[in-house]
Amino acid sequence: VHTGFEEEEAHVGVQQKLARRGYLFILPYFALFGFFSLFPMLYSIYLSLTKYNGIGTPEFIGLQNFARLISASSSFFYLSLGNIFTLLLMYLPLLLVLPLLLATFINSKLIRRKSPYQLAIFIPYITTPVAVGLLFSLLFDWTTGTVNTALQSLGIITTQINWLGEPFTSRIVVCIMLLWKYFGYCITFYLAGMANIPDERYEAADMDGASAFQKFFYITIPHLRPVLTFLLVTGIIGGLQLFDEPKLLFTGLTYASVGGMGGPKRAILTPIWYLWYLAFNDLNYGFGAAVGLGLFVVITVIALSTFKLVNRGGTQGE
Amino acid sequence: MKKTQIYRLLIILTLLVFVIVALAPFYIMIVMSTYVTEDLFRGIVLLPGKFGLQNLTTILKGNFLLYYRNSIYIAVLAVLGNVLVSSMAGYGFSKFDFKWKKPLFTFVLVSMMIPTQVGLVAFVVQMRYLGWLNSHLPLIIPPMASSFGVFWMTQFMNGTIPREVIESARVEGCSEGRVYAQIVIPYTKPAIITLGLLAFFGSWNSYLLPLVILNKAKLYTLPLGVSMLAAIFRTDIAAQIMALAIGTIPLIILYLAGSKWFMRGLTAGAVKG
Repeated sequence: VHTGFEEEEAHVGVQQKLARRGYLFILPYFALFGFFSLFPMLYSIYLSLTKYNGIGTPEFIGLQNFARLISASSSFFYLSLGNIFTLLLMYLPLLLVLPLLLATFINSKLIRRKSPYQLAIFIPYITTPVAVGLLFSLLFDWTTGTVNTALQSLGIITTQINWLGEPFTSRIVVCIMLLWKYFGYCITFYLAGMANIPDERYEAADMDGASAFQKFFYITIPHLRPVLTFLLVTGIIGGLQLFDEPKLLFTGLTYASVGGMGGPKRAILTPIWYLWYLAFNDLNYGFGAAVGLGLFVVITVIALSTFKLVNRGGTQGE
Repeated sequence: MKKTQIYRLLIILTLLVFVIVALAPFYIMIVMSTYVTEDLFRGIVLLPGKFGLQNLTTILKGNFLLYYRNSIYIAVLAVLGNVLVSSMAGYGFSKFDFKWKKPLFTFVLVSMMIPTQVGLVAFVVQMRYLGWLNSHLPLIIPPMASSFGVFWMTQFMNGTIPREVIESARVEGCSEGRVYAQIVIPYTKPAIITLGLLAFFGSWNSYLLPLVILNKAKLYTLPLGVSMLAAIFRTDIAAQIMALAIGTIPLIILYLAGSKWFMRGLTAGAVKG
């Protein structure tokens, strides 16, 4: 005997069964992420309140690690953050502007085959950081590096520059390395954004007699706003997490400062490098965890405020 | 010459300069790998030398092949796991309705922005408790949970697989497992290739994680092995450059083979804000 009631119940049953299966399909991700990413972050909070050398039992010491973290005289936390902001100021503006111009060139109607340029320019991004770091340490070596040799034979410099031996020049090398690695990456994002701009916009502007510059500033840039925001925010977050390239530059094939931390006068010590050194060289796990949490707070605050700041100007082109 | 042709020439020349800048270090790397170390420091080398084979023999005698094998099998397993876990979650999020779907997906989006490196110290302690230090498991299992992967698969499946196809398969009595394997996966191929490439690059290039997890030479991955060699033995630089050059080649081949899908996947999400 069929009643409408039963059918409805059966329907609800199917829905519940499907919902349960939905949960089953997303379960592996959440289980793995929870256990291997979320849990360590929470566990960091506990570790940061202890004195722990990685073996034995952590000894609870309250907020001592954080007191040390925020005191400029007893930790390199501020120094490492300052280094990052100096580096960001040196390379990020260039990294946002130069690829935008190059993307405009590649996207230009005058260029018929665009992909070969894009493909070639992107390759540095996928290269192993170890190869990049070691290669650049070789290229910028004081006495034998290709860069000094080339500059000398061109007559630009008379004495060899100790690139990796001075704070300012070693920062320049890091900037060159990062610009080289990421400019193709940024171009790819700009090109993807440009492909989304409807052709009619440009055609309408052409009919109104707009110049190439006007089209660039009044159509292209506003439409690329989301891409710019993305590159800016991920650029800052990525900058704050720098480790591989600077570290490997000084693990170089010829440079003599193995085991040292942060390059000359610690000018390119990064927060993650500091964290790594504290925990795995000094075996100060508690303080290392505290540096990680400090960095987490800094990254969250900066990411949120950059988003706010950039989005305040309106939502054109989204 | 017309004005537009001059513009065209200028643009092409500018782009070529940047193509050269992008590729020059590779060229230098490959050329350097064909010299003996002493010659590398006598000036700039522009043309390949004669010692490529000799350097190749040198690295093959060391642990190089072992590092290579470690890197390959770690990357392959991490990629397979990542694609499986992400496509399952993508299917769950795009084709099922359940109560906590919205907040859980928001969680995925937020977690894409969280820098998990900041929990590195605790992660290492956790691995010690699990007995996973000096094993390859921490490099294979945790990267399988990729928030970007879940986001990317969900977006892709939302847009491409018609719900009716899945519903009619269910009505015909297909089990969920079969729907997933025989309908969802074939439809999702381009997205899988993109994610697989990204995951492969991530695993192959990873340096910090192997550095803190592995301290037995025979377990080293290629980047770690080469960087350790560089730090300890500074003598045969040319051979080490050869190792780096060979380590980069699989990435470039994979990249060129999958570049069409790869570019699209990389920029997903950023473009629309």
